[in-house]
Amino acid sequence: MVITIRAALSCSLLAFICCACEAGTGTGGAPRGGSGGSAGAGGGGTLPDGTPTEALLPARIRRLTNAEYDASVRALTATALTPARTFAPDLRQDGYTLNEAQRVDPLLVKQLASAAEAIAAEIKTNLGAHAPCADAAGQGETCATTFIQSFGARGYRRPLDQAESDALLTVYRTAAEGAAYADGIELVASAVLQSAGFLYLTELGDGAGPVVTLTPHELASSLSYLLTEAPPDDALVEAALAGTLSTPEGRAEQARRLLDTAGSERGVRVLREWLGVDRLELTAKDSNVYPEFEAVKASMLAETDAFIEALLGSAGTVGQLLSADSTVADAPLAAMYGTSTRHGVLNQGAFLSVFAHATETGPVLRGVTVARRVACLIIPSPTELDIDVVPPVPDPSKTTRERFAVHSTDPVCAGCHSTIDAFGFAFEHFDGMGKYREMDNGQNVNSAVTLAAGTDFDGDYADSNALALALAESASVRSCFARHVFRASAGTSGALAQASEDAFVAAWQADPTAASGNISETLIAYAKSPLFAQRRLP
Amino acid sequence: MKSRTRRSFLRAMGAGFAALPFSRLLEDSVAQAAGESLPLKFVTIYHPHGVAAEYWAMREGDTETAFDIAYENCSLRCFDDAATYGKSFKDKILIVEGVDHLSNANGHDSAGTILTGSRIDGNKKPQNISLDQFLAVSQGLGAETRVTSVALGVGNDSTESGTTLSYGEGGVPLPKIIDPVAAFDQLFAGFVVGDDPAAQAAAARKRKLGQSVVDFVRGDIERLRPRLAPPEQQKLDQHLTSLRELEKQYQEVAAGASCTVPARPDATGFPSLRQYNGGEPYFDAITDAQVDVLAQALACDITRFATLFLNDLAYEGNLLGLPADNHAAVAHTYNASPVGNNGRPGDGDPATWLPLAKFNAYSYSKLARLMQKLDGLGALDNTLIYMASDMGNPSLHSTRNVPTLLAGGAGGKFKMGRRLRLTADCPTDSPWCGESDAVFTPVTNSRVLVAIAQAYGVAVDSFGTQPEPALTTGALSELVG
Repeated sequence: MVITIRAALSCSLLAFICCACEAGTGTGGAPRGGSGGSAGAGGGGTLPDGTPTEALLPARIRRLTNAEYDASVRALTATALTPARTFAPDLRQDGYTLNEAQRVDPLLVKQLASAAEAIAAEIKTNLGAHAPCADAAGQGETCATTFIQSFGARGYRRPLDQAESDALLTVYRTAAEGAAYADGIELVASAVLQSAGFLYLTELGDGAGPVVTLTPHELASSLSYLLTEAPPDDALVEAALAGTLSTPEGRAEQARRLLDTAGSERGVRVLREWLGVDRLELTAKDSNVYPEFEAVKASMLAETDAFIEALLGSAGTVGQLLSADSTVADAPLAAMYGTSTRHGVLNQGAFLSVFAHATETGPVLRGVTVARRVACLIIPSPTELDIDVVPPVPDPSKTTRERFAVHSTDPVCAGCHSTIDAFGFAFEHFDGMGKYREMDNGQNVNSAVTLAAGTDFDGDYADSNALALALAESASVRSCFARHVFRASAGTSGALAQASEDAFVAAWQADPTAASGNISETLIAYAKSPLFAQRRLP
Repeated sequence: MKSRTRRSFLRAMGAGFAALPFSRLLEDSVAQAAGESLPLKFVTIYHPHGVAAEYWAMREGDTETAFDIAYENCSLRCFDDAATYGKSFKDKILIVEGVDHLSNANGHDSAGTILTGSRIDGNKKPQNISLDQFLAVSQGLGAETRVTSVALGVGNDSTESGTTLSYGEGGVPLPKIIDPVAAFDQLFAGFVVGDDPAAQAAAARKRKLGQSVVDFVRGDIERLRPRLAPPEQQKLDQHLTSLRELEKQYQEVAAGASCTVPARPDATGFPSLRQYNGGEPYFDAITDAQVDVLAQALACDITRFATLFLNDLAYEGNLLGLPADNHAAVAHTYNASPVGNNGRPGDGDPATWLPLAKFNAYSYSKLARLMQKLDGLGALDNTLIYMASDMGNPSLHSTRNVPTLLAGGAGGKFKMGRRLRLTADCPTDSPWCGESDAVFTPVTNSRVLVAIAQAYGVAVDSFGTQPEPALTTGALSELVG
């Protein structure tokens, strides 16, 4: 017995529940518009780009991610330490590390304290660079005040107010009293690195509501972390103070500068988290079945990263991400690939290995991921439907596809799995670590699928390469990508953010370059949007 | 919760004297002299891969109080193995058959149900706080100790539902420490000063400076907080709660505290920590180090609430001589007889039972190690350990009939040295029954959790989140005896 149905749901009901339908407003349709949003209590207007004010996100704060923390301490102190690598991993939302759910829990607060102490100790040994003082014995407090103003402002990414600098001076005195200037500076540095001002990005704006615009410093910080996962540089802060970031065009100009100069780390992260390929680091294979895996695992990650970087550096599109057949595999990986054709990131080793089991392929894992993440189809989980799922027992006489095909013969399963499996079986020419294969358990692999999920790319496909080419042309896939850029950038998703997400997709659609699927321009479209720059007050 | 004797002792000593942990040791001795029991410590341990029930469940001839767990290949044998552990712990365990985790999720996502009694939602999260956090934080029972609670793990520091036991309010997953050195530092930081005046002065200064930073950060948060709407303020409230935890680290340790602080674990014993990244060969050493640090921390009363998330072994060269890939080659191939198959008919394949039983025995041996250490430190009698897996039958990924073990002296709150077999989920004439069937009569782990909460004197009658409130309600009174 492979599948046990626990609930007394009829087949037809299940089939109805499972019917895959696209999230949000659909393939290219009109936005829901000002009256459709569920957020906010009516009476809202419409912003110049058509975004309904109810769709604006509430004023909020969010804690730096681990990557942002490391980049921030590096920018602030030039440390070579990367303490966040030993912090607890980022809590994820919808797969994304940048999100508004991050908290400072009791374990992290201690890890933050240890990290701050280590970095502050470095500063203490290099006072000349960080907090020079010609007469530390006589003028220590004056020098400390100077340090507090400059270090504090860079740490907080805005000037300190009087209460803040007073509080830091108290910290200085506590440590310097009966000790040395250097001890006071060390403790001030430690305190700044553990402060709320350093650890949280604020999106609070200034003034009365119901709609506020982020302050210039908030705009600079948010834009910088959004595109570089690091604090703003001087040029960006200057532009913000000059008011440049208050217009979409001004933000776009600075965004392009940042993307040109700051490297593509952030863009790579967004795309990796979108498709889940970052989970390769947490993927293992049974070495009896896939003895070469450990040796090429690092090459796979490097390939996908380099592939994405190359696209980001050349105005690449999501279509190219899904279909380009140029490979940047290193020698070991190229040897594993042989002469096989591989269109796009979904046919690369990283994706194929993550979404497979330790001993065999994972048609359901691959299928569900493509359906949900790439096509934005709603696929409920079996547990939501009260179905117990057990993988088919290995049967040496059958191919993986034959065993998993029980889904399509069982009417209870077929409602969802006719869609999932059509995506998943297309990849069957690639084994559990992404190596090309003609045979599975001694039989010819069958990767031909018919997709009938009500999408704009329904049809017959010989294999996952053919499918990838179709995904690359699909308008619904492009808008799905835009949805995910919103989730990754705004750090929010789900029912409460649906109106915001819809509003973003509508604005993105109206921008021809972004709507063509240009990856960088889609990131920039969020920076231009009032959803980035403005907040709703309760 | 606190008894009159304990309270009046504290009052007599004055608040200023309530430094940790020396005063508490005095307090304990006063309480003990008054015939009271010491504060109960609560540890929860997860072990992977369910159970081979054939070598675990009660056999013919076993009764509640007279049973044999020393027979060959019994996975519970370590609890009756004086040759290895110095004594038999048979009278310090309570084996419970028939507990169900109604996670409504795949077995692999169900560990989050163990301490929450909650279903796992679409975001793979339970929906309420875990019992350890409920007791330690919400009920304030961890407030007195230097560390309110600690979550340890082996190899995997993810916080997804299938990989962690402790959850804050609303089911927010809490991170684990997978590095025994980091665990030691967290638990024992600043704990030992020694008699050297210079070291004492340095420690006093460190405490003063640490407190100064905490005060500053608290003020910084308080300046920001009024600018936020209530839902956003919750983020800072969590931060303030966490700061209190940091602050406890800066509190003075009274000289003369009679507690042996162990040596810092030797990190060269585990050059890699992470699963899938070279950590597997060291999992056994990591596990032992975590167990030892935990035993010492409990014995020193540094914390009273802990979770420990055990892990798998390496794919290859595992020390049990099991087939490579324990997950696929052992757990997934388990082909059970009715006792391991939720009562369903069929003979199963005996050849598949033994490898899983061996792995179970390995997991239990880590509990035996913890019990041995605690016993040696005089802390076993006041400790209650709850050990469970996320699954019963692992090849079915079944979350029913999960192996459940209570261990330790439990402060006398539970009657140990027994085996219990609870009501079967399904009648014999309907062995395939499921949650939607009227004849399905589960005993959920919520009822274990309620019993534990009541053992702490907390007046709750239900714990967990299930569609039917009855499923989470009522202590499993059989535990009390």
